[in-house]
Formats: sequence, structure tokens, C-alpha cells
Amino acid sequence: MKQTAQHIIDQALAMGANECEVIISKGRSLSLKANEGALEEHKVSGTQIAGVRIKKDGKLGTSYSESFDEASLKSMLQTAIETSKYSKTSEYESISATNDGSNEDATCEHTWKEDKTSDEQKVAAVLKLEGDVLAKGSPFKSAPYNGLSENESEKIIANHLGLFKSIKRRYFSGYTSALAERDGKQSMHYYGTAGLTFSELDLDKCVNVSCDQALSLIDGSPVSTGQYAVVFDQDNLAELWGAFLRVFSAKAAIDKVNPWAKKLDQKVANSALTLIDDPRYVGAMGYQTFDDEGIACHALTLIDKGNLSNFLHNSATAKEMNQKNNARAGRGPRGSLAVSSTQLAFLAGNDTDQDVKANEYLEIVSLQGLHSGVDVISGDFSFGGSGFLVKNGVRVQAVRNVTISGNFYELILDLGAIGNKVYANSDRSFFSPMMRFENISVAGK
Amino acid sequence: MSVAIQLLDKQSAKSVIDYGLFLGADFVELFVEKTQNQSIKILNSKVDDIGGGVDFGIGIRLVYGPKVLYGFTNNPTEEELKKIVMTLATTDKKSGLKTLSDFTTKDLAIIHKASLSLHNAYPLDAKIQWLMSLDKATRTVSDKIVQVVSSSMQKCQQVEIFNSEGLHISEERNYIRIMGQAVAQDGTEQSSGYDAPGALRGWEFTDALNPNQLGELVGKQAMTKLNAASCPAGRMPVIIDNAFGGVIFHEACGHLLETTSVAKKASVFHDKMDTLIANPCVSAVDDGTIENEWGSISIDDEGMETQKTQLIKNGVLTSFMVDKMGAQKTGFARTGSGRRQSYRFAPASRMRNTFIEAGHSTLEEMISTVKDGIYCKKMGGGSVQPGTGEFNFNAQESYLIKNGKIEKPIKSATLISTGPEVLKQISMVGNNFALAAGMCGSVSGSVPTTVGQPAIKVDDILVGGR
Repeated sequence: MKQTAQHIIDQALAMGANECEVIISKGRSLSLKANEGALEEHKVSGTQIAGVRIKKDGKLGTSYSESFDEASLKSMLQTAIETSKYSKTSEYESISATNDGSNEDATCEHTWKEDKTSDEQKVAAVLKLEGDVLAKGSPFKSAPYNGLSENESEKIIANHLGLFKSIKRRYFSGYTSALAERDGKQSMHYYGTAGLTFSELDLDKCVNVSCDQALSLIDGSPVSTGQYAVVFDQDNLAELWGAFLRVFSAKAAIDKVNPWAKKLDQKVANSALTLIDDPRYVGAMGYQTFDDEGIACHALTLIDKGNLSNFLHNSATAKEMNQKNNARAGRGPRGSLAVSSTQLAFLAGNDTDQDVKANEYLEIVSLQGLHSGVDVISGDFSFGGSGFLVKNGVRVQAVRNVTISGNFYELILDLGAIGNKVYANSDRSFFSPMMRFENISVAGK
Repeated sequence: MSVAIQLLDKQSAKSVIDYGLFLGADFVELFVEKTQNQSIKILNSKVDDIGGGVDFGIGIRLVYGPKVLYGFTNNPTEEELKKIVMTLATTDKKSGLKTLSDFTTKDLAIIHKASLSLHNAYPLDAKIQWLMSLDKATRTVSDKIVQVVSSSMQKCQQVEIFNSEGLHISEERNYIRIMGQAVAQDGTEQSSGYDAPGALRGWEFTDALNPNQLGELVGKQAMTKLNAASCPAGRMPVIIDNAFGGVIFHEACGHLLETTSVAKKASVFHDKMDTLIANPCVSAVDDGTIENEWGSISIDDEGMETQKTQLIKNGVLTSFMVDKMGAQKTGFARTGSGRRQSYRFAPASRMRNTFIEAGHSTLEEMISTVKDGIYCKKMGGGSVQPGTGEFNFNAQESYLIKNGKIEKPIKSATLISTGPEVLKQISMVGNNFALAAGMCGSVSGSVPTTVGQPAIKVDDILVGGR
């Protein structure tokens, strides 16, 4: 891969590019799905892709190819150079990262672990996922969606200044669903797990959570329309915050599509809330030590005690906004330079979990429509939800067929409580204490 | 006649398929794809990004009884393809006696012509100029429009399919989609407007698309929402207008009629063939044949010629959407509905252009029947849980109806229900039928689909608001 990257860079310079950066990614994956006691899908892959970013006469161009023969790579470079002629002249974006002396190879125990699990063991595990759901008994009609996958990838970043960085990753994931049916009512719930090795997967938990939630919700009904305190489980809390991440993007601020563009150092959340974007969070699945320009990255505080403290920057946005580059460049082989967050980790708050779950609240375990029910510009959201009405620590009603609506930016200013223990979501990409959102509009009966 | 597409030589394809048969597979298929992409984005009234490249890969499907084994690679050598076949068949291989005699190459007439595809060197600066016109027209709507994004996506997807039944067929699909987005601001209030028409054709699609009208549409949508009142919450009658309003049928019913979920009995409609599942005023179709329509195809991704499939007639379920494996598992005949995003996905039964057919009521008649409710002029996206039919979708532009008249704009409306329930609650079907382009994500990836309908009245549905 290193030789291929160098060859592409040499060719680009020979074709007139002034600067050149290459990302090459190769991967291998295995995906298994079970249905009705048999392996329904067995999928393997071997993939490769090269993406190039060039600068010529002050203008940027990008292109990519999944074919590595000489003609395809040359065509990729010609496309990048040709399209650069029509791009805006960029005084801020350049390909300028140099080797910083850190290890070229960022593969470590946080991204790659040896695993000798055989394919037969993996097949047995995915069949067991379905079998364990059905073994729970009569309400469980089927477990229609079960899967287990293993992904290996290697990515390198190189540029004309001699920068070369590489990282190798491997991760496993598994999920199952339980479809319960009783008295003509149906309920289905999914749960997933992820790990760096097969043995890190908690497949029993997938089965138990899927079954427990599907069964608990089967008799669910709407609550009365009104305002409720809401506590989301960790997966749905991660989804909710994830839907509004654009507020931290310097690129979005420059593009005038970030509603927090002018809120740096201003209060944006409850003063007990501190949010850190931490690429080196140990135990997280996306551990990384450099960004997609090849620059070393470290923990970055985004919200400090309720105040917006930093935007996510790459080298270009930092230059344009005259702020420090915090190495949050995001770029895949197919794309142009952007910014991206890594792993969100909230610090523990001041309240106990009991404070968060005091009195009456809606515990939400499933949200529907997150991708369509969110307006990042205004902060308004509205989506379907399922969960439980809880009073004084006791689930008094299973709740389904309600919509949950509010304005995210207003709600996080007025969080009712932030727990003092931090929990991971199921795929280990989000770490947060429990949060109690007050006065969310719930439409039911 | 069709354009000759040769992405993999026949001899290699035969050799790989024979190897799969030798390992005892009941069915072997190669899906070879080369896709050229180009995207242009205008931001701040300047070219922000021009991207593009070439995707190339081969998907290999082996079928052993009900089991599907699938692999893909970017390396088209016979050695690599056989290696994948061998890896896939590790646990299922048995002695196979069949071999493929030869392929029968099918020539297809070109239904969906594209005169300005990515093969034609249509000048980039002319495309940029068109998008700049869209940017300008959107900003002209109001000085409160603070940002505009206008962009285009073009794709030329060539597919070549070989299988162990001797099929050899190919198709070139040219896609274009234009996107306009406006952000309006008034003090601390912000809102956005969006529209994204698309077609199965080349850049000539823009000849019939007026950038001034599109800009005005998204600009006005953002302005309408800017100071809109909050949406009421609770159960109420809702009028859902035409075109993208069809997402309600797509989510509420369409996904549940795909054999992907029917075969697993994960659809509430799996045992409802020939029974009344909707109000008799509802008839619905999934049609892949509409010329140059965004969700159309000539052949599906299993090589079967596309067709028009009547899903519901006068409220009665008349057909599912059936792919090869769905046919094998359910016994229903294939409908040319096997689709996939790319060579990276095994095909599954998916929608094409799916819509409720026109009725007789006018929009005004429908609105006049509502005392307290809402009118959803433009719908957003949504999702459905196939097992239970629970769905939700979001309205981008909505209005409050009071005493049979539209009173004022409202924002952030979400509609939730279940497929079976909402189909029975449709009491009026309008005469203003229209289609709209969208992307549908499911088990075989994200595929272009068209939704559509005339305006419909849903008598009682849960609306989420503040």
C-alpha cells in the first residue's frame, strides 16, 4: 500500500499537481445472518479503495477509484486535476501535514487484537442468537433479524511532504431481535453488541435485552398527551446527541449552517454539563491517534460546564476562523476535507442516578424516525418513541405509540439532572451519565 | 438495442460459475458493476466541492437450498473470484454434477434514454451555471434567506449479470438528482427548506426543471416555517398532499409487502393475500416501467425484466414484491423486484416507483371536511419497524386546518401509526396525483425509489407536536 500511495503521489506531481494527499483503505469482512434455524446469509468481502486530494494552481480537486490498475489510477488523477479547475481558489485549504515524529503505525491493542475464533464458532454463535430467543418461550414468535460480523481494515494516509501514517483495525459486532406476539398484539426489539474480539461480544445480553424489552412493551399503550420528564437509555441518548453534532462543526459554522456559529464561550447547556470529544478514550471502539490529515489528535473539550468551548477543526477551518487546529479532519477516500467528531464522553454530573430517576418520568428505550424528525438548524425534533412510565422507581405502564417533541437546544439548557456515573452505549462509541430532560412534549391519547 | 457492456469476460464468468456448481451450489450468480459518479456543490454562491470517481466490483451469490452466501471484491481476476467462492462454500460444499453449457445473452431495448449522461462531455461550467441560477433564485425569495446549498449528483451505473441458469444480461442506468436547500433566519429563529427532484436520465433532466421555480419553492418553504406556530399534539384528521406525501404508503405499507419481510413472517401482511387490508378507496401499485422515472429500471438486479405490479386493488391485497429468494421461500411468482445498492449487497425485494393511484376528490373538498386537523403539504422522511408495522414520518411543511379552512403554518409535525391501521383510516383519495424522488434504505442498501400519491385524507392519526 505504501508503494501504491507513493506511486500515486509521484504521478500526480508529474501531471502538474502542486500538492497531493492519498488515502488508501483495504478491508476484509465476514457477515453472518440466521433465520429459522439456518444460516440465511454468509457474506465475505475483500475491498480496496484509493482516494486522492490534490491542489493545483491554488485550487482543490478530489477523486477516487476502487480499481488499482494503472489506467484506473491515472484516470482518477486526471479527474481530480480536471475538476480542480472549476473549484474555488482556496487560500485556507492546503495539504501541509508533515511527519510529526510519532509512530507511523498507530495499530495498538486499542484498535486490533489477536482473535483465533473459527468461522464455525461464529456460525454457531449466530444460530444460537436466534435459538436462545425462541427458547424463551411462547410469546416469542420469531427472531427475524440476527447477525454477527467481523471487520478488518487497514488505512494509510500519505502526502507529497513525506507524511505517512497507517492504522489497522478489527472489530466484531452482533445483534438480535425478538418479536413477541400475544393476544393479537405484537412487539419487537433489537439489541446489539460490539467488541475488538469475538469474546468481548455480550451475545447473551443481546438476547436478554431484546426479549425483556419486547415482552415488557407488548401491552404498551399511549400515555395522556402532555409534558413529561424524559430519561433516554444510553443508545437512544447517543442517537439524540448524534443528530445534533453539527453544532460543533467549524465547517458548518463557516458554511452558515451551524446554529451555534456565534456561541463560542457562551452558555449553551446546563452548567453541570461537560462534553469531551476523546479519540483516545480507552475502551471505545473508534480509538485513534491521528486524524484524516495525519495530524496527531487528543481529547478536546466541546462544552465546558455548560459553555461552548471549541469547534471541531481541520487545518483549513482553523486557518479560516483563526483558531487552533485540533486535528478533527474527517475525510474518507471518496470525499473532500471535512471535520468529524470521534468519541463523545460526558463527564459525570453532580446528581445521583436516583435523582435522575426521581418521581415521575418517561423512560425511553426506543426512538423511531431520528433521521427524519430532526431540524438541526432550529433544534426542533419530533419522533416516535416507546418505553415506560415510571413513578417512584416503579414502571407503572408500558408506553407505545407516542411522539416525543421539543427543542433540543432549549432542553439541554434546562436539564433536570445529570447523573454521577458514566455508562457506555452498546457499541461503545458514546459515554455519558444519565440525563433527565424536563418538559418534553409527549403526544399520546 | 442495448449498449454492449462488457465488464467481465464470459469465459471467466463461466469458469467461476462452474466452480460454484462443482462445489454443489444450487444457484450461482455474478453481479458485476462499474459506476461513475460526479457531484457538484454550490455554497456561499461559490463552487464548494466537485467530487467523483469510479466504483468497480463484483458480487458473487451462491445459493444452497434456502441459504444465501454472498461475497464481493474489487479484484476481477478469475483466481480471486474462485477464492471467494471457495471461502463462501467452506461449510456447505458438496459434490456438484451440474455445469453450465453456455450463456444466453439477452439484448434489452433501451427504455430509459439519457442523452447527456456522464459519458457525454457536457461542460462542467454549464452545470455549475445552472446550479448558480438555483442559488440566486433561492436567495431572491427574501433577505432572510441566509444560506443556500445547491447541488447535483449524477451517476452512470453499468451492471452485467451472469448466472448458472445461463442468463447473461446488462444494463446502463443514468441517474441525476438536483438538490436545493435554503436556510432562513429571523433573529434567533432559524428554519430550512429542501427539495430534491431526480430522474433516471442525464443532465437533460434540467431542461424541464426551472431553477427559478425550484429556488422559489425551497426559499418559500424555509420562510413559511420561519415563524410558524407549534404543531398541536394528539389524534386528529390529517390531509396529506400529493407527491412526497406518498412516503406514508411507502413506510406504512410498501416495506411490509416486500418478501424480504413477508418470507420471515415479519410482516403483519404475510398471510393477508386476497383479503381487504385497506379502505376500498385505496388502490396501489409498484411500477418499474415508467419511462425515465427515478425509481425505474429495465431489469432488476437479478436480471429479470421489470414490470408493473398491482399491490392493492380496491383495498384488497393482490401482490407482494417478490425477488428470487422471496419466490423460493413464499411460492409467489417473481415480480422483478430484486434490487441492491451496489455489488456490495445481495439483492432483496425492494420498491421501485410505488404509489397510491388517483381518486376523484379535490384537495379543497378534502380540506373542507376537516374541523380541527392539519394539512401536510410536504412530507419528509420516515421509518418503519417491519415486524409490527409501526411507522413514523415527519412533515416538512404543514398547516393548521380549522373549520374546513387552512388557518396558519405550523412546524415539527410527526405522524405515527401502524401500517394496517392507517390504511383503514384513509377515507378520501384525491385527483392530483404526482410522484417524487427519494432514497430508500433497507437490507440491500440504499436504492433510488419514487413515492407518490394524490392527496389523501387520514381520518384519525397520532400527531406529535409541542
